[in-house]
Amino acid sequence: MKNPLVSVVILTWNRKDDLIETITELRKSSYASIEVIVVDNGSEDGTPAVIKERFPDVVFVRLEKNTGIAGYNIGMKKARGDYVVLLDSDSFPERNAIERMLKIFESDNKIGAVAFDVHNTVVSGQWSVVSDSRSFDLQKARDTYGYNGAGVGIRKECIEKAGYLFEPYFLYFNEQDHAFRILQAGYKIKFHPDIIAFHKSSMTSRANRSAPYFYTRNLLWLIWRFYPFKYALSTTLLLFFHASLSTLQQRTFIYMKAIMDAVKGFKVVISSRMVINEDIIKGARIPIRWAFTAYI
Amino acid sequence: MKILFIKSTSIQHLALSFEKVRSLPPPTHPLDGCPALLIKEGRGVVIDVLAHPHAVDSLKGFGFINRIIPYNSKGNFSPLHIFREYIRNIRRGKYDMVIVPFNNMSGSGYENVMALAVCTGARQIVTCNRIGDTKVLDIKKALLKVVKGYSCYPLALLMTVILSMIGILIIFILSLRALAKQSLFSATLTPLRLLRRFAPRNDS
Repeated sequence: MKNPLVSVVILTWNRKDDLIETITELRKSSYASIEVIVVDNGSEDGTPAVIKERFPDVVFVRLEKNTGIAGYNIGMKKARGDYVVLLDSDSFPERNAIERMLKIFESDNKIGAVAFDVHNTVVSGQWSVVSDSRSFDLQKARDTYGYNGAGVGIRKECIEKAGYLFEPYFLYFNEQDHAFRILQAGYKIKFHPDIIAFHKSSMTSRANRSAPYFYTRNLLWLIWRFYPFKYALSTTLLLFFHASLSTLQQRTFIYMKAIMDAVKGFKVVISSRMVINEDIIKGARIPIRWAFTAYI
Repeated sequence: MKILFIKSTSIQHLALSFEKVRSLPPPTHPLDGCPALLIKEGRGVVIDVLAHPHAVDSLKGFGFINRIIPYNSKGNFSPLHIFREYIRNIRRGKYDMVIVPFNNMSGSGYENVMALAVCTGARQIVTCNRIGDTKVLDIKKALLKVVKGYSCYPLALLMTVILSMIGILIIFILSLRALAKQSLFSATLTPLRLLRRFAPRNDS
């Protein structure tokens, strides 16, 4: 198919300026056939008015409240393209990224997703990496077991088969959950170091307390949903240990609350359990301890 | 002056830590001028970095690093591995200052890195947290931090056992709540159904 439509779905919540920058950068893409869908999770910073005024061609979906990652699902369902690119409102692809992503997809129809190499940058304006698309080497693509939600392309047909994002997560670990289902559906996920997305990460933004809660709860859910029994049991105990240790060391109850809520949701999570094989677990290398040492 | 930087966080945070350490006020170290000045002028400051082998190439971009010491242990700075493997080697360097960057705010969970810093025998240990706040610790304070960190381990182990028991109990209570809604037969089966979903039937 020549010049297939690519739908870019951007989820936003109170990040008007970042969103404007993301859409502006998307306009500079070397690939023209792009549909931009913005799902606004109930922003209160004037996002709807600004987007409608400055970017009238953008498909804008306004939600009344913050639904977390469920907004991506709404955007993906609206997408008309054969391929969907998911972005955060503070991330955007490098100019050649979408064109290159399509080359990867066209090389093998069993490729379900293309994970962008997400470059986290602290200083605004550090995204001048522009290279010639003609020198793009397909051979550098390698299999991977997950993707970063700040930049990924997914085949629409793959979404239909593997399913949409698991909404109870709200945020965090939804990408890994989705990646497991993509792999389980028989598709491959490819990573290419020259398909780049830029993500404006802030050194201070991680100092909030909701992140360790969601990371801990969702990591338990992820494990219970996908891990074989022996791995699920041992990893749960390991997580309980790290949560206990962090509770004592950091003098916070947030990890215990996360565990309690994870247990409360056990039934919902287990009802959709899908066991993955050990190779995928080993390949995914999920950082168990990271969430406990990355915030407080 | 010899400084050892322990790369316990990302490259980006390491860069931030370098900047923060450069701006430390003069009383922090025994020599004249601040590290920034010394590094810039190359007056007697030697900076070594202890890092995982996968970070070696990226670190080569920092021109002012004298020596990159790669450690071969898998995963985190496990006291069981890295201490045995490197502590003698590092001690031989006789560092005046060790810099420990944290990926979080409080430094919790970094007791292994702090322990390594203490073992180097350096007079000063400078910590730099996620947002770049620096603290200068003498050996006593650093050692206290290590002891406090490790003292939580036995209690955490006990909590894990209690949590596991509570977790199992909650799952059964949730299942038994079906008693009010369903028949006794169905309620008895609910926990079995839940556990059956976990059973290792399709693991391979």
